Amino acid sequence: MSGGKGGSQTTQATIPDWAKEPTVRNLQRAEDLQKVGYMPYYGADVAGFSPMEQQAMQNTMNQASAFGLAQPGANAMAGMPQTQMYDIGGGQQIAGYSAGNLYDQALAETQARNPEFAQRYDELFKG
Amino acid sequence: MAGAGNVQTQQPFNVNTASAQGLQGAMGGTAMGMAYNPQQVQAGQLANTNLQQYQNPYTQQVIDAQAQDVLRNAQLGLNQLGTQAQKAGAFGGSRHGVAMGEIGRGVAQTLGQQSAQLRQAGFQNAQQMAQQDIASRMQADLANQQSGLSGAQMRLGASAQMGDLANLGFGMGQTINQNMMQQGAMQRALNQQLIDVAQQRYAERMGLPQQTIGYVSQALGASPIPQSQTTTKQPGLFDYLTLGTTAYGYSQSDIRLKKDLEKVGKLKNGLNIYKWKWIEGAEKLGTKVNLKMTMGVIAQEVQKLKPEAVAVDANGYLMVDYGAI
Repeated sequence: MSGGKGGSQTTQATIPDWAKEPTVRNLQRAEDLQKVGYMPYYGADVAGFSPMEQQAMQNTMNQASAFGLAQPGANAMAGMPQTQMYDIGGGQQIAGYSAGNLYDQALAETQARNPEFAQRYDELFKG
Repeated sequence: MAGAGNVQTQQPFNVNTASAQGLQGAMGGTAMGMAYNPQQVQAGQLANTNLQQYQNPYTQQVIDAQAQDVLRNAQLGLNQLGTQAQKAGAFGGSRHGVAMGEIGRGVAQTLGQQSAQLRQAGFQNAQQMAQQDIASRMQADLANQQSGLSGAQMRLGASAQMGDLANLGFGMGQTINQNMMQQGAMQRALNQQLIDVAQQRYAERMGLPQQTIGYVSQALGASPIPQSQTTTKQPGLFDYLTLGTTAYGYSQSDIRLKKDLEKVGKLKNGLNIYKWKWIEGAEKLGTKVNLKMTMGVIAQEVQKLKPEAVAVDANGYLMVDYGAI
């Protein structure tokens, strides 16, 4: 539409009475939740190599040894971190790795390098 | 009977070891083949051959025996000549002496000829035997040379076959190993899926309070913060002009139905805004006459600037579509 329009408009938002109580309660709960902070996951993150994979790698190493490209009896998994066993129920376990310790180290490193920043950050979650 | 203690443990077949050893053997065999020198064959020479070994060791004995025969016959001839000379009373005479001398000369000549013939025959025989030996040795040397070449070629062929087998074994080992790696990766992927599901459930558990907050918000209304909205508006000139027209589309605006026109403003497109009063019975003369609408444009002016916004009613009066101007 062309032409001059003019005029003004204001909007006022109001919470209905019936919604006031649950809304306030919900906000309070959100604030409580905010104080909880971050709860790290310390379970398994990465599955370890399966026995068949390890055997295949050892075969490759043996092949290299047979052709004179590696020391005889060399271990294909040498240098790899040892897996942890995690129960999956029924007496069964799977081998895997957790990044929990790496996370803790990284967090501690951050706190050591930037203690003020870390403190201010942590205070965001305090009541 | 072999007991358990006598069972010899045999190393299980290892395709990697077999391939490597086969390759090594093939390379060694090929290297030997490359370094192979065939047996040298040289022709024997009669001139360099000691013929003595081919001589009849009994040649002298044969000569001696023949000489004894000749001498015995010569003695018989001398005896006979002596007897004849005695009978003729000429024994010991000159004729007897000449005859004896003739016999002696014949004996000597015969002995010499026979000895020479026997020695010549012996030499020729020795020479012939030596030549046969030289030829036989040459033939044997050539046969040995050929068998050596054949053996070398056979070894080269065996080396090549060993190399092929080693390569085949290597390829088989590689294929099996790749299959193992793939299947092992599938197993690991299954474990990883379990871990991922566990992580997801952990995240769901940790996020549950936050999620319940959302549930309450959703229950309170479509928007996270429920609100009612009150809108107040101070209308502008154009809002006023279009007020009440949008529901009808066209509005009556013919100048012939208006009176007491007073220009009160101007739109940006140049159209004038007027206040007016409707003439008596305007609502009966024209269609879509809104008696409460006493401000706006004049249809005749709109027709000049925006004819598409003007329409003619059943009685020939001009109406204006305010939405089109």
